[in-house]
Amino acid sequence: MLLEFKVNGIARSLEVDPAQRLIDVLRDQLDLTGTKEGCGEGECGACTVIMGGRAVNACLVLGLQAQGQEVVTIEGLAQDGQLDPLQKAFMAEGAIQCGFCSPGMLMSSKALLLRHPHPSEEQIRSAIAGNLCRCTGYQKIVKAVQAVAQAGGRHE
Amino acid sequence: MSNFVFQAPATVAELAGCLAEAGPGTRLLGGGTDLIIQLRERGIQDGTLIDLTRVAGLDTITLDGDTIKIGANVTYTDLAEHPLITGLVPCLGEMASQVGSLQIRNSARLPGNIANASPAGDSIATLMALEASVLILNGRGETCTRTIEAVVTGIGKTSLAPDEAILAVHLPRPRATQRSRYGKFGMGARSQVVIANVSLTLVVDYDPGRGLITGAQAVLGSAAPLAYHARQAEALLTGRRPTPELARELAETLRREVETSIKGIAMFMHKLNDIQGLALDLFAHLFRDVM
Repeated sequence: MLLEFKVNGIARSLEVDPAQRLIDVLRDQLDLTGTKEGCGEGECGACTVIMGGRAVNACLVLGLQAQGQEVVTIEGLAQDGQLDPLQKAFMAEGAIQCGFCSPGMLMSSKALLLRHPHPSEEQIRSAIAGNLCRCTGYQKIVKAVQAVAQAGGRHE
Repeated sequence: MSNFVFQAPATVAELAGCLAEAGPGTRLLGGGTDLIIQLRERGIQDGTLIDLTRVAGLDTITLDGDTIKIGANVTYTDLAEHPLITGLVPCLGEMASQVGSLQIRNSARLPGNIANASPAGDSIATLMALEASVLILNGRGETCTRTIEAVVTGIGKTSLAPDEAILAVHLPRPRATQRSRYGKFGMGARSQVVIANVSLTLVVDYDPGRGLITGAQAVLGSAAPLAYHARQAEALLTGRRPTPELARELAETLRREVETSIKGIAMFMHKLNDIQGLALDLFAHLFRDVM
């Protein structure tokens, strides 16, 4: 069936199988492999993308349910060749270890800051509660998000 | 390639048309957080999927006379944040804010939780305590309402026919004297994103003039195949003044009720502790201004 939606600001129109999940469409058809699949059942959050302004697990949404929607993936964070302030902060704070959870962590954090530019630490922890980091680098991830929020959305 | 037929009705009338053709292989798709996992686990590759998420007009929460109407496409995130919910039925907002992760709450909706009828389904006990009913559409385009108890009939079992879909959840507008709280204990290492191990919803009427509880609903979730009213606890609270002593009596009464419902199964014994802690916490929150 025909799926028409926007990914990272670009209109896309492609044939998808109804059984394909959003993560399958992104990775296998659009080659957007920055979005990772961990558990495939909504526990780990590695596949988190932003759809309609909200963080969702791309493994628990059928591709066809993105019909007409705007989806942002990790590939869509950088603008004009400049990394997003969150990406810079993750690097500066050492909030990345093996990196497998990072795309999901970044998208959950981005969705949070879009809705709450000045989140409390509790809000940050709640926003990433659905993202597992097996390297257990949570403190630095929270710090990185706080750094961006405190800088008013910027990070040098 | 799968053999799924995918339908995405845009209106309630179109949905009725899809339901008219529904058979045993038809599945209704909401937020997808349960169904997509089920399809993959069971290797299901055919049948009809009716996507409810694009049906217009089902994404609002409204107060219509004496009824709070929650459309089928209202997500848990919407519920947890909506002033009608947090203001009038706080236990429902508390329940919604504790479902899964934020990603799950951004997708999942009440009808899926009801239709999946899991003993650990977070919403069912709370909806029972709030005397909820469900607005159902069938393939002939007719609607009817059924109480939540009449819909959820067993583990994974409901009274919903293959050609029926939940359009909305209705709650009676609470009396001004009503107070409510929800809590759950989860299993596992995480403090959030846990499946309820035992949950408690307390809904009470409190008469501040006389300082008395004049009515109570106490519903236990994840303590038996079906959520159930803890009738002894409800009787205990009614007519009493909220005191720390009553809180302890409530905890003990609920412990006894859970002891009966878990039927001595060893792996469930920890629920006896959990329910007492929940009862004390919820009661203290309910009456912190008067106790």
